[in-house]
Amino acid sequence: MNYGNPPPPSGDYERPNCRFRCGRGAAWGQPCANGPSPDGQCGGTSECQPVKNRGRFECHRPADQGGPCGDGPNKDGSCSMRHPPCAPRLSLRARRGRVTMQVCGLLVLLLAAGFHFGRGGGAKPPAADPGPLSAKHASFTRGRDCAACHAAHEAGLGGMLKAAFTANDMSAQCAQCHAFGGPADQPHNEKHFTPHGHAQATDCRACHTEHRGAQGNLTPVTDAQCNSCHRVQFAGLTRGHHEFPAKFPHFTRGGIKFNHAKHLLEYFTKPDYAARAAKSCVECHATSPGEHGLRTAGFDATCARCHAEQIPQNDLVVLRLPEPPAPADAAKLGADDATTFMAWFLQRGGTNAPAYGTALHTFLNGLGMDGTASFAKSLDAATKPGAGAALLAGLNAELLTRPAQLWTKRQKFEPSAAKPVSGWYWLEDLFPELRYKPAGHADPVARAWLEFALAAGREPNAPDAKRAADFRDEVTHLRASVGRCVKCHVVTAPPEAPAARELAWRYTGSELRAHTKFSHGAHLGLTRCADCHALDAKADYEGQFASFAATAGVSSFSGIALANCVNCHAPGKVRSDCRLCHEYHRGPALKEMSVAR
Amino acid sequence: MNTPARKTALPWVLLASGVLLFLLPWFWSRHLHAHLGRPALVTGWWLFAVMVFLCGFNARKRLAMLPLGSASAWLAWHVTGGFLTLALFWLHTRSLWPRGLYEQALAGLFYLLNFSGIVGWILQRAYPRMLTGSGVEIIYERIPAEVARLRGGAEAVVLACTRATGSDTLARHYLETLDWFFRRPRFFASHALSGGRKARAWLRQQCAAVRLYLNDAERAHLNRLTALAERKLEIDFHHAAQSLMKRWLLLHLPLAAAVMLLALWHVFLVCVYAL
Repeated sequence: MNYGNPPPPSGDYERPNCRFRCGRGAAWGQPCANGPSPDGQCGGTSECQPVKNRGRFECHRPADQGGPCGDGPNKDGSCSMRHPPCAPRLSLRARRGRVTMQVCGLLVLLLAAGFHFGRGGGAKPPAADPGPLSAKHASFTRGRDCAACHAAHEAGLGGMLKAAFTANDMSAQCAQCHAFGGPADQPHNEKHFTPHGHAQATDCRACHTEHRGAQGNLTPVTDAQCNSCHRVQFAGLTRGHHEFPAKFPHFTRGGIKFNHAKHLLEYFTKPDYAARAAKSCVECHATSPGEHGLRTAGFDATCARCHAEQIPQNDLVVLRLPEPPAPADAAKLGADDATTFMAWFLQRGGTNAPAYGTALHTFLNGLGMDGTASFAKSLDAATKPGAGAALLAGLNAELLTRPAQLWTKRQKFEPSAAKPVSGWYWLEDLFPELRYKPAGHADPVARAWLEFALAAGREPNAPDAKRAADFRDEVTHLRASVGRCVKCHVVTAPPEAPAARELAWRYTGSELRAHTKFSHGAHLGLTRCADCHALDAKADYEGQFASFAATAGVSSFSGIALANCVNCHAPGKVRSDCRLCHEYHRGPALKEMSVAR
Repeated sequence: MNTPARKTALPWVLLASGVLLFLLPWFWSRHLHAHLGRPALVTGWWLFAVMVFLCGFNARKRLAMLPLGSASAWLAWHVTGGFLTLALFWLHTRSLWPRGLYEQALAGLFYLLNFSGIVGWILQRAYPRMLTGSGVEIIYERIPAEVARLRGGAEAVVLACTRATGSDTLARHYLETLDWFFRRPRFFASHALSGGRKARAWLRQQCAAVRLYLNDAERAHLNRLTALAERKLEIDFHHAAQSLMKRWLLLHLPLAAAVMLLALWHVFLVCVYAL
């Protein structure tokens, strides 16, 4: 019995490229010499393949299997040493291939099922789920899910195959909901980028990344990425950022004249006004931690303390009745004693207009017959329908009818001596004058007349341009204007029409340049107002209003310097990245249809 | 021919190549990221190309007749590429674990694949040396025949002992203990993890236990039986080591196929939805 080295190899079926191995060997028995056939049939049912030699069958069992057997082959040539067949097993290599194919097949089935059964009806297929959307997008796209942004999602297999080889304009999908103050595919949504040279069209996905979860950062943009486009590059707010402009952020002259330096350093210190003066900036300029801008409290809460009593001091003089002329001299009556309004209004039409005296007679005749109706109709014709009602609001028809009738009859009209607190009334000065006394701030009639007067002088080449300008200048006189509105509300000549005038009714505040933002609310309590807004007593604040042209603004505050910001906004302290102060998009907004969805 | 100089230089060449093949897409993606490009496209295709190269190792083994370089060199590049794919995967995803369901499946399978590859590489490095040191050489497919032969030999020794001595002590002990041992390879975990220490201890214990009750003639048969059993131990060790070295591919290759399939699916989805 050989207990030493293993016997020499008996066959080549043990090679790993054979698909099957002997079942007896798999059961740790003695494997047969032949091994299974390539198709997995047992090859060891007989111990030898008898060979016919000289008419006799001879046993050819291999020596390592024991050599020729004692019984020899059967008469029909079959081996006498037969065994039951084994169950051949797959070789390791064959099993490996089978497992691989099964895994791949299972995976394909799972992918197909996970994609097919998860689509439709706004669902998200698990086999194509790239991760949850941000909270904002998730709420707006609920109901359509993937198809809200990916047009190919609802296409069939053919459509998806086509989409795989076609460029997909994702930015156009974004623009279905997102609007900007300029072209969506241009840097910063600006139309013209010539000052900065060549600029390429942009793709939303360059900065915005979705599918990062509900709390994911949609815009993980770094300062280095901002720098990649800008020609002037710098490392940070404290390393290379250029100084703010000298007048930052006071570039325009605003709509309301208020000289902070004069008020804070002079007027508020006077004993007469000290008690009524604002004690701190926030009395007039309110904000809260959640707000970006400053809310300026209205006139009633701030300026009225000192200026309310001034408003009714200036009346608007609309009509002045001269001495009634004799009927034969009516046409000779001049406009010397007329109000600027009458001089312009009754002589509109230039050379085609009737003589002043005739026009006045006709006008007063109409007043005597219709009262305010004909006057309003004439005013509508001069401006626009409905303007007359606004201009003559509160005017009792009797107040026009009786004086006009008396005048046309050449009878003396004596107005009442009593002056009302506000509203329309007649006053006997040298001549009877129809006047309007404003009730207070934002008086609608005063406002209507101011706008009417400004509109009158809009056409510089009109035949009555001089008279219109005289009327306009009287109504908007700095000291004599009705209600003294022009004392605070700025009158500006628009650049495109230098002869015209516009009046700013609302406070606009300092306008930051596009793409720059600042939150006062966030700085509440951290700094004092004066730390950034230092009064400049020497600034020629009033001088900027000498001309109606919208010149660059002069502020009574010094410009804010970069040094004010970098005290806190520096590496190691508070955030100082580009996006803290700069907004990439111009006027970002949501389109109505996106909200309606 | 693998000269000693080449063998010494190869690890450094592989390391340098791996580092270079990582740094190139890394710098490229940094540049694209800074310039608002799409670095994920570059890193994704680079990763996919390396994965295709790794799959080429299986093809190389099947196309042995073609002059495509030695299998050992391919293995070395395959291992290098495997580690490279791990680094490229993190560079591409910029996270350890993605969010989407199918991406998580892809990442999970990818990590499993890498883990199985590292385990397999450790097996391929550790076991061959131990197998050579065992002093026995046997082809894996012939282990069943050898086990059968040893079992036949052991049974013959026991029968001869009974006939010669008239005592059945050894025979009864064999039936109760060593018969189980000789039936098939045993102590797989012991051989795989600790070199068969537990198996040897068991054998020593069994032989020592019965030796007390045998006379000199029976002990001679026991010695022959012990020699066969010690040979069986070596065969068992070969079976354990070679099984592991062959069967880990049952995990690695299907995983590789699954990962490639999911990667292709990922490419398809990206082309449909994102490009």
